Amino acid sequence: MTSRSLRLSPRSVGGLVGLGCAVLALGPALRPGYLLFYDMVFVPHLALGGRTLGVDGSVPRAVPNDLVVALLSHLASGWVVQKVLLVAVFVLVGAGVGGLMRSRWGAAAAAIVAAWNPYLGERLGIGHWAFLLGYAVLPFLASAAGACREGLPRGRFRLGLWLVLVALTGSTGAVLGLLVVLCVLLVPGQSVRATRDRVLDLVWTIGIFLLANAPWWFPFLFVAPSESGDPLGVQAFMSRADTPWGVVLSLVTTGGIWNQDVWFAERSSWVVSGVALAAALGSVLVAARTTSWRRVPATAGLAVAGVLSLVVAAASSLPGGSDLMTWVVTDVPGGGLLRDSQKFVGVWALVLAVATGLTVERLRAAGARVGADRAGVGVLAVVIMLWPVATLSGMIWGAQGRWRAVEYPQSYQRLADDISALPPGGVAAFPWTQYRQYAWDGNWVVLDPWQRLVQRSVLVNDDLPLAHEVVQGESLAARAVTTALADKRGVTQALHRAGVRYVLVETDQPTRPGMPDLSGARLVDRATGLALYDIGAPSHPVAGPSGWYRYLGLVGGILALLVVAATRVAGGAGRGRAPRRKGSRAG
Amino acid sequence: MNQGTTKIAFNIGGALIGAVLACVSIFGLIAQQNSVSQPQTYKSTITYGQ
Repeated sequence: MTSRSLRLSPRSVGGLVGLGCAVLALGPALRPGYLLFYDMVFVPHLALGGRTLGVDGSVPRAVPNDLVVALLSHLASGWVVQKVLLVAVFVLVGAGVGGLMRSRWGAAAAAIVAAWNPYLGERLGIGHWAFLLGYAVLPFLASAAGACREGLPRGRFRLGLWLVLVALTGSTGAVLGLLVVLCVLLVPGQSVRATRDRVLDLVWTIGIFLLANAPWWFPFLFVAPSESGDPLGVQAFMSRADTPWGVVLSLVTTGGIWNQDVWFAERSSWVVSGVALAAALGSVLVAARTTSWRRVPATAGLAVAGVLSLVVAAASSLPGGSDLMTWVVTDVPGGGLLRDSQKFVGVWALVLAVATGLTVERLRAAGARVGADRAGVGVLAVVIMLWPVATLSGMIWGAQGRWRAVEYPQSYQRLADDISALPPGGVAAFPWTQYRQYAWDGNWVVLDPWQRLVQRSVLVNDDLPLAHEVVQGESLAARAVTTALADKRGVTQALHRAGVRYVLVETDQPTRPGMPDLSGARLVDRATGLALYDIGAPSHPVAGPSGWYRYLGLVGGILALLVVAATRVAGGAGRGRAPRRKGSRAG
Repeated sequence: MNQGTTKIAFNIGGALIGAVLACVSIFGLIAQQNSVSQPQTYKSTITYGQ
């Protein structure tokens, strides 16, 4: 093997750098056990059921990402699946942006920014692992869309495949992905392809997007009875300033998530966040003075998508933007996707990554031009590419031990098994709130895990309790129970109407959110911190969704995969129409 | 600028930027450690966020 064959490609360098960031960032979180905080909930074995398939009539919030986890849970324990998916975020995003760069130095710099930034850290802290997987796929989508636009061999197949893969990460990743792809396909610039082919690219994109994402949008629109979004949610989940520099500049440095519990402490410092802001703006300035990336559709389109994403993320904080966003969230079907608008900043983070990569490449080129010592230039380049880690050192080693792996108490698994053996009937989890604080989990706030621990329908209150307000959920069944609890009558009837037979009481949790009167119920089982009651079978069957139409969304997803595979077998629609052009990467 | 001067410029630039980033990094480590050291406490109503 020659030394030349050992040289790593920029994409490989990016992936390796991403892996290094994963080890450094996750650290103790990689030990055996589960990371359980906020929306990050994995269980030993997530069952394939109506909820994971999105056909049970509940609001499909974790479809199809929970379906992917359920399938992977057949291969390995839940905690292994969790670790693999989290490490994959870092490796994929590093490799993705590395592939957009021309040199290994640029790839390493871009990978560090993409795999180590406040967006990734804050979203990881709040448990949005599926968002992050979608984020990690975006640079691959940009590359594939660029290849499609340039008419490279198998361009359309690649684009279709990545559209299907990003759809598996859930609605947020899919929507961000569509934005990136459309910007790459439509960004002004030279194209070697006929207008007809470019229109067909758009039709292909929209078609595959709709089919691949049918597993969540179809049940949301046609299977799950739900309320429209609560206008309070727009204000509650709008982007916030996690630095002293205001909302917009916090977003520019890829921070600004609404929940201050997951902010990194050092970003409240003028100096630390100021250095991060200067580095971010400096990189963008250098990139703006570089022209080569503008000729590459993947990076030019990504830049446009990044700026648009930044505007969307900041919209709620701009004059008039709040009213507009409220209208979209409450009145436009699917508009709820814009509620937590800071999630759009992920696209901007990738733009910042490419800009930093370009900066390092230009620095090295400038050093070579003036005949500077190569070692000196190299050291300076390494120092500059480390700015994301230096300005977010709180993320090191599991956010300083905050992200820790824990084991479920044995009583949880035993009770989950016992519930599976009981006669049919749904379960409702009480006290009536969907967030818990377990002493065995360090008292971190975490989504109730019982919806995933039990292999049957579990009703939870989907209202979001915040410090000063409650954002109403979308489940009509949960709303009926909430109303009955407030009225202090008719709770059992409301539970029966929702198909609930068993009431699971988590006895180690605060009871203030509401408890039903269980004096007439039969205690079925008891374990440490848990008690299970039987309130009797519902007197008549619950009129839930039934019939084959519930599966149309899943059929759409499978159809998307088949169509993309067929394109590959048929040789790819864009095969051989244009030779690969030089400079198809930024640089 | 001759090669010697350029080399010095790169070295000084690298040293300055490196020193700033090192200080910022250490400050961040301490700040985050202090925030994590605050124990989670029992609350009568559990909230998703601030």
